[in-house]
Amino acid sequence: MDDLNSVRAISDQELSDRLALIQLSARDIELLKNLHVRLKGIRMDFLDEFYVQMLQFEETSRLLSDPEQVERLKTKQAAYFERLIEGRYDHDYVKDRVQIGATHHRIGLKPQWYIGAYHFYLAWLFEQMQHTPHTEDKECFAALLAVIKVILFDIELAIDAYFQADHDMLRLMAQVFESNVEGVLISDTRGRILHANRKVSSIAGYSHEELLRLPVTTLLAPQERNVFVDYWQGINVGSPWQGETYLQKRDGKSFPAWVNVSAVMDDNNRVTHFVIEFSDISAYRLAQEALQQRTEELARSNKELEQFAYVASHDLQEPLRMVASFTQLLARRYEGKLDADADEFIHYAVDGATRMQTLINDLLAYSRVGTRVKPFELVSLEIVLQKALDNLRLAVEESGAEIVRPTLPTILGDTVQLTQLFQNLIANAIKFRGEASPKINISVSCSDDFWRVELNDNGIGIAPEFFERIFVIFQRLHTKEDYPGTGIGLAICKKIVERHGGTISVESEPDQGATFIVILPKIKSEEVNQ
Amino acid sequence: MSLEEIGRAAEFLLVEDNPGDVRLTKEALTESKVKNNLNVVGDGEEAMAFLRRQGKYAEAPRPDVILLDLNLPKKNGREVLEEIKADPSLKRIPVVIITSSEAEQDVLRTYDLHVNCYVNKPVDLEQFVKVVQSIETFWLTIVKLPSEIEE
Repeated sequence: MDDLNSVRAISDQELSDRLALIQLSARDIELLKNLHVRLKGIRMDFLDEFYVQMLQFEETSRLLSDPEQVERLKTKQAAYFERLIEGRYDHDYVKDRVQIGATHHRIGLKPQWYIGAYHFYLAWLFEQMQHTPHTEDKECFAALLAVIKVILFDIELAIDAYFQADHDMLRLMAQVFESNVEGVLISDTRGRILHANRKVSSIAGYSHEELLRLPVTTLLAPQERNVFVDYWQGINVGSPWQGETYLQKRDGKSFPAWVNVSAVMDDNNRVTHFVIEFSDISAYRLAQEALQQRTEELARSNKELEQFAYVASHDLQEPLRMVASFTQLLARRYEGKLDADADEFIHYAVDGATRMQTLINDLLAYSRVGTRVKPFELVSLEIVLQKALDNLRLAVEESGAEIVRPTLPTILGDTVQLTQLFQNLIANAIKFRGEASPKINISVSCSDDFWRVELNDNGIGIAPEFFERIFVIFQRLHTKEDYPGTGIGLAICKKIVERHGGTISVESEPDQGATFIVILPKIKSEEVNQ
Repeated sequence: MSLEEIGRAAEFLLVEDNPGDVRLTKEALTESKVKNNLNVVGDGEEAMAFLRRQGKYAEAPRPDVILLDLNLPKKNGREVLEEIKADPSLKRIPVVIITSSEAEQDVLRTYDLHVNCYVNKPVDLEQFVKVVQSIETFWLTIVKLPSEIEE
């Protein structure tokens, strides 16, 4: 593609052909040179009048809003008119003229305006020549004719350049139209196809010739045609329609498409054409469906896994209850009646069975977060926190814990689970206390979509390398002797928070207390109305 | 008249498929103050045969209280309960569900079927013994049983 700003070169042959066409003779050139000498130094005052005239029109006044720019243009134009009759019509001259035409095209100045300038120039020339003696009338007339010839030559060159630039621009646009990755159609106001690019043919299976004059609605899948009648109403008054629909190929097969329809308006806001762009989104749809399917499978397998954990832990409980009960029965009935070894063995059997029962109970509680679910309802965290504190009353009193609490918001969630969340976090703050009695500070803040609840304590804290681990099921940082427990509490917290579409994290340093940060989604306005 | 005054031992029917639980129940009841017989059947069909004195149960006593597990082979606890409560000659016998199921659904459904009480099997032995003994004390010494009037 040519650079639009580059100027078309004119060959020697073409140059002489053009000069021959206007029959510019050596005598004409001689006359022009004489005229040039005569007029040199006379102020071209007509230019002021010309610019005053130009400022009256909206289109041109916009180009001439800067007075300094106008002064520069006047100087340039004076030089231009001077050169017009200088008598040197060589390649450089031609190149300059062509350049001016291309520049006018670039800045959007239509030929009508600058052709008008020649009128002013000619009128001025007449005036200058009126003072010539009568004896020179003939010569004067010949000189004027030569000027007119040169002006015609000039107009021809500039207009030629202007339309060449226009043509280049159109060719570029046509190229964009033709090679568009989308199917592009242009129809008349009645919806008959006037132009269609290659892509339309390759998607819809019609030849280019078949498409021309075809109503665009032919390309719509039959079930969509009625729907589109409504859309056209909007498109007709200038609001483009964009969306997914089904189009139909020549062989009758329909396919999903992304379509954009817009109206082309003239200066009077009357619709002249419609532009219809579309792309075949079959592949995208397939990918979307595959993704959807995979997501569903994943959800199903997750669900199954949760069910499995639940069923397994539930079913394990039964035989384990037997082991535990009978070892306990053994201990009850035979402790001290057998030898010391037997007592020790029984002790370990009872201890192991009891611990395993706790683990399985915890696992069951953990898997229940995902399986025994109730639909979300409005839950006041205020009430939830109170409930959690009521449940922990004994621990709070015994430890002398001080709890600072803010007013908490209402969210959508599961009351039982949220109570457990707060209960586990506060119980941990009390359990992992330091020397001092526990101080627990609960605070709340919010962003656009989320609530951020922070529970800060003055306990033993956690080293950063354990931040991830503490939320994993059965991960413990302390011996059972120091702090009893199975390591389920925070894993359950994490599962509860995630089920509510939130996150939980911790910030802490050893011996510096810990802050657990729970982020939960706010109620969306559309959910309130439901 | 109380059973003691009538002068016979209390008859329990335990419907339980797990021999371990049967044994634990027996252990718990050996320390009992009230004289009692623990009759045991292992599935729902046997339970109904026992209650209706069919086949080998022709001489079976009429139980004063039925201890019924929910998850049973052949005929499950709910079906047994439903049949008992639908039978005019059996429906007055108190039925105690004793199960490891904590499902809310099970609790509500069995009460809908007119169970007399629903008890969870405790996981811990101490608790288990306590619960069985409480059932025994409650039904045999506190409650006025229909069988005491019928005789």
